Amino acid sequence: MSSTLIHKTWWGQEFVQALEAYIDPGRLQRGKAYRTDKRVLAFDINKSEVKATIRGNVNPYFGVTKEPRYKVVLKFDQIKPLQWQGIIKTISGNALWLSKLMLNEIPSNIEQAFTPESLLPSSYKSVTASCNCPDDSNPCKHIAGVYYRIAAMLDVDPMLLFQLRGLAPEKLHQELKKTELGQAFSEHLTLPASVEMQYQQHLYTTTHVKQDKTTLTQKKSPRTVHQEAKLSQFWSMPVPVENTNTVASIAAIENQGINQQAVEAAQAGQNNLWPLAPQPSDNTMEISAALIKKQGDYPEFWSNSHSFITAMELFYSHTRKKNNKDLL
Amino acid sequence: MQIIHLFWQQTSNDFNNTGCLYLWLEQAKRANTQLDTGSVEAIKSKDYPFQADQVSLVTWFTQYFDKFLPLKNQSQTKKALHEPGIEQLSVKLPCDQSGQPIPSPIIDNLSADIDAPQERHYAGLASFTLHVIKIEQPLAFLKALNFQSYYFEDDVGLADDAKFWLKMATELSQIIVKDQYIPFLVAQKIKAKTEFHAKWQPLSANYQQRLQQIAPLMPFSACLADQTLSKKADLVPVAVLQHFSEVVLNQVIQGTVYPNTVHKPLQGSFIGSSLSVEPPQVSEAQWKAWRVWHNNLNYDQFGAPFQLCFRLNEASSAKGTDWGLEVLLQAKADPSFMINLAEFWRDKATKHTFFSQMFGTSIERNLLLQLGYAGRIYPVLEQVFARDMQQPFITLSTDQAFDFLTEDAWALHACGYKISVPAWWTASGRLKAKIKMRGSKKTDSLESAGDSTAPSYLSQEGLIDFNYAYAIGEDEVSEQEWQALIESKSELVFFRGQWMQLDPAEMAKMQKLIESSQRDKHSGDLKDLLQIAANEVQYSIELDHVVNDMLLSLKNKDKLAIISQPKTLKAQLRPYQLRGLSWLSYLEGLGMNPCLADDMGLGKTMQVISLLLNAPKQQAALLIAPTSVIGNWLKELEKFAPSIKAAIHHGAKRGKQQDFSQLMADNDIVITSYGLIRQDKSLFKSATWSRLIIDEAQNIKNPSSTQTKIIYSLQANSRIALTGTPIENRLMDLWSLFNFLNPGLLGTRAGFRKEFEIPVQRDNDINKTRLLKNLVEPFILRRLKTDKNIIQDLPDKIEQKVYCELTKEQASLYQNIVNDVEASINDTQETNQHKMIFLSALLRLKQCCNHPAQLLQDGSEFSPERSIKLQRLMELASKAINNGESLLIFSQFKEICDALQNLIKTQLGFNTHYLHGGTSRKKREAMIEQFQAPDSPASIFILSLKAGGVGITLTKANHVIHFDRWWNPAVENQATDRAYRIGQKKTVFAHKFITLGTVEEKIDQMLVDKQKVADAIVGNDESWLSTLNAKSFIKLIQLSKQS
Repeated sequence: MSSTLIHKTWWGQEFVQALEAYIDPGRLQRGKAYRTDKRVLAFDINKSEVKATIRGNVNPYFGVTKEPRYKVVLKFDQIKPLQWQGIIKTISGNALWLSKLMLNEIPSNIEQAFTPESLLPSSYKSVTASCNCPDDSNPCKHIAGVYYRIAAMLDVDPMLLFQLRGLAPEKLHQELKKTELGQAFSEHLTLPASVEMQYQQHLYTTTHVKQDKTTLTQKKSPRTVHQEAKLSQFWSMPVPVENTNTVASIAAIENQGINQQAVEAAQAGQNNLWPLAPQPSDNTMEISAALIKKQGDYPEFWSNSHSFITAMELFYSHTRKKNNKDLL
Repeated sequence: MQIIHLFWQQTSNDFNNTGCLYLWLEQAKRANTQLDTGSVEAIKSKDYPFQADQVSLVTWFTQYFDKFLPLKNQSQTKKALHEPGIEQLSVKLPCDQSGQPIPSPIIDNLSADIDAPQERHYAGLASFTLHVIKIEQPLAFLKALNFQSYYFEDDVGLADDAKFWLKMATELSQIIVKDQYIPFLVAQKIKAKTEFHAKWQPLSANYQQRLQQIAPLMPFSACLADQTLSKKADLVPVAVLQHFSEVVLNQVIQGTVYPNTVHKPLQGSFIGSSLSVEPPQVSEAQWKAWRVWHNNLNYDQFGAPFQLCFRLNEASSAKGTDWGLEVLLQAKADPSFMINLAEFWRDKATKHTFFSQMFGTSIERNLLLQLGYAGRIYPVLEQVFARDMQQPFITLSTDQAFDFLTEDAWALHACGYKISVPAWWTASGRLKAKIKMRGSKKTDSLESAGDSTAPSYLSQEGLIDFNYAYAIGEDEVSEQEWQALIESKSELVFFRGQWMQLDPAEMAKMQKLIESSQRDKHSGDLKDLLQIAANEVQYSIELDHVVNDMLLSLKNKDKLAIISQPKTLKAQLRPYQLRGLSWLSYLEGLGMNPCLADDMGLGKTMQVISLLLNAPKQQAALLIAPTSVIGNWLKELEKFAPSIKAAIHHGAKRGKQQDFSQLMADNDIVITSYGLIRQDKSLFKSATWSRLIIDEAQNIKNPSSTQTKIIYSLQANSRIALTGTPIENRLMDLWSLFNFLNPGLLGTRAGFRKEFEIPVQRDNDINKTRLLKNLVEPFILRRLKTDKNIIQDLPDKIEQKVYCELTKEQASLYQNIVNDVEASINDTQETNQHKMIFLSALLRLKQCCNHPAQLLQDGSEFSPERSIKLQRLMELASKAINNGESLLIFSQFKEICDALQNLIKTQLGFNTHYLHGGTSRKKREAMIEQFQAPDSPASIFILSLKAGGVGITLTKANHVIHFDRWWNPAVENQATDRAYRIGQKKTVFAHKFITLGTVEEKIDQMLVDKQKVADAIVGNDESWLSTLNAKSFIKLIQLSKQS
């Protein structure tokens, strides 16, 4: 475990900074180790209260000879319901904030909506925490561990912060629905975020599908073909396809008009032609990893602390360069 | 003939259901099908008869693809044979009712068994064993195959399945080039345990859509399944393409060596383990997290019914303060429907129903998501949200606009957003720094321009003065302005009312080029000018009117001044032929040598004859043509240009040096064959010809052959190449042609290979393709029968007489018959008996003119070498079929029809139908239907004149060949009318074959000369001929000595 734990998001960082001012470096360091599954035996968030069971260390010096279990309870200061109404109203009116929240990102200036309160705990003082370990300093390393765990959760689910500050999810939706854009956000939040496990029989798409006895007598699925059916398509394509050669390209340049007709014919639904390749752009700028960039950096499955996008950019561009000579 | 086949196969149905691309060679010659009876494996399924044996497969493969030959399988699995890398696979292939395999159409035709007792029909699939080579790197191999296919001999071809995979390789390449694939995490349940596997998979709505369109085009032979798999399952074409894409993509990635700098950052995630053999260490929670991530990307690709489009509107003035970036919503179903974001909010309430039709029901949510994604890529877009998305556009500075155009727009585009930029930013509208090249004719030779003895532009007096200056687009700028532009800080400048991008590095390079050109290249010839003019990217050309007119005429053949047709020509040129003549004559005047490449049937011969008449020369011209058309050239010259003295230098009795010099002195044109070029090279080289004309110029496509080298070296004042087949196909063929016509224009052979052949044929370099096209285009005139302005010039029906000489064998047989007839007539005084002798003689003479084998009836070979008529037929048929045109062949002799069908099928492999007196009505209907079907390939229909001359419609054909003559025009016309009737959309060409100097030619002449008389005397048959007296008859059949 690296000694410096860098939080992937700015709010994750700010969240732990609130704690770090109140804890000595030694406890802080040890506390980081307590956020892992190895240490956290139970972890439960109920409304704005977090309860956790932490596996402690045997410590003869403190008279602890059997592996101890410590109960940590953490509670954040609540923002009052009336204030929440105003806050949500302000957020709902800000399309930029909403769009960022929809992408699991806390807008950097969201605190404007919370003044005079604040969304992120401004200091450890706005947290009520307790632990039944023998260490009487607060925060102790167990509290710190739970706190870090929450921070890691916030990295991927910033809306958890709203709940911890006292806004129940159903209440959030109720308030969001009052405005048009808020409604859109509410719709987004209620999409099933959790997925069921899916198991596959094969690593790759299979070329054949089982003939289902029940469907044999019925009409065949239009996607499948019965190879025995037709000789005419056994050896030949429905229309002769030109080799990807120079005649074609010279002809294409030569007869812009004819080419245009071909485009139109293809668009008109004569779909027995090979779809035309998109016009080659004369701007050859490389955009690496464009596809995955849309889901932002640090996806939840990416446990590394360095940038996912940078790592993928490297991978993609290397794959491209190394194989370029083999690509048609 | 060998045909390369490629098929994909899912090689395992285990969890790791990988696949493989296999190659096999189909061929007509039946492989030695000795089964190794000792091995149970071998008996299980039959060896496929239409394939190359293992040794020749390996030999062939090694010749072209040495480095792809898989190594001998070390582990000796049960399928591996002794030969390196060859495997045997049992697959299902089509069969007829008796279990005999039906190979692919070309091979099927080539191996047709004409004497087969019964009709074959397709009865289903049966198992056969194929010898295959496993292709371990499909993409790399397909790229090599694409390049190599330009160099295959004529008897090696690609099957449709191989072509299909070549196309698929370009599709998959795009996925890799554009990074349109993502890491996948697959969960597998093994009893109670879950195992995870990492892989990569394409993710692109566009790719998926293309696969859907491509899948129905897949020939079944492109995917021959393993039989255990296909037994109880149906093939899903789209799934085959997906399987191929997934497996090959993962193979490519696994085959790539990644340095530590790439590896390390990916370690600790399942992505890292996809690059190594270790299984990923992940939890179900991580799988779910990946799944959510994947679903979001998936939704973005496939979910939203609209997409966002960003449009940059240019600033109104040089100050550049008001660049505007608009956000538009674009419906995926109807991309022509776009609406500005501000407008959308304004009209949302009133047009609610309409918008939800176009954009779906969750517009706001999709909008916020898509804008959010876009904002991540291009943060400036966050300004859209200010003022509740009600502002019509975001204002950008010039620097911001430049950044958008050069970077951000492409990043957004790559992420699937639509981008619209000002026209001047697009390839066609972009202003670029260029070199202005001024060319003017050297003044001292101006007077002689336009004269028929104009100086050649390739010679010294034809020099053009070159003068270079700076230019932006087509506008010249002063050196100071140019300098100022280079020094301006901004890369986007407002120049003379238009925005443009500056590339100071490129401009500095051009400056150097200008300076060196000014120093070293003050003048050049037309070839130099054309080379500069072809390079449109770097040069802007400005020429004085003399040179400019010349260049314009070269570039735009339609603008050429039309000359009038030579008065001595005994024919009326069609308008396009007159244009062709004008073009030939113009190029010849410039000292540049043209290639006339008109489609078959448009009359290239006539245009060349006109040129000879238009500008007669002192010295003789040399025409080199294939043996089969020599006679026809002479005949046409005699017929249409009787004033031209022409002679053939061919045959055993051709003259040696002394006679040859006389021949040259006595004639305006000497006609010879390619075959004689080598033999008589000293004769041809001994003179300087006025014109050197090569017919069927594809004969010089191989620049290394001795024949081609001799032709290059012949001395001539001008050269003309004629060809009816497209010549741009293989670039080395093109080079060879131009090395004959205008040596130096395309550089040396080695230089051309580096400069054009490899970039164009291997790397699909669009710019080089364009440059090459610009270089050669002025010298090639190719018009197709289907061109709009050609169709209007063409009559609906064209009758052509095709003249062929007799071979030596035919001539002596012919003479024997004539001698016999003379003797018989002298023996018989009874004129009644003469009639019988006449008719029998006519029959035998006709047979002799067709082919010796028909006359002799001795079972000797029906080979094209023994009859030029037959040679000519084979050439014509090949040209027509390769041009996609169908043809009918009529003969009055059943034995000729039989032999023709056999020969065409087995030698050319073309689709052939045959109708004769014994054909059943049912079969006849079926054949006609098959022939006429719009989706059937171009085919040949052979008909006996009596059985097929009336009643039926065969309008798919636009060529009708009368192989032998029926001396009654009405009967022949009726036959021609099978194609020339309602429903025919093309010009019908009736080719009437006539052997020179024989009774065929003479009777034809009689019919032409005495059309009216003939109409009166000609009855339904040929009996009128027998009413001639003995003397006239002998005269009629006597072989004329002239040829």
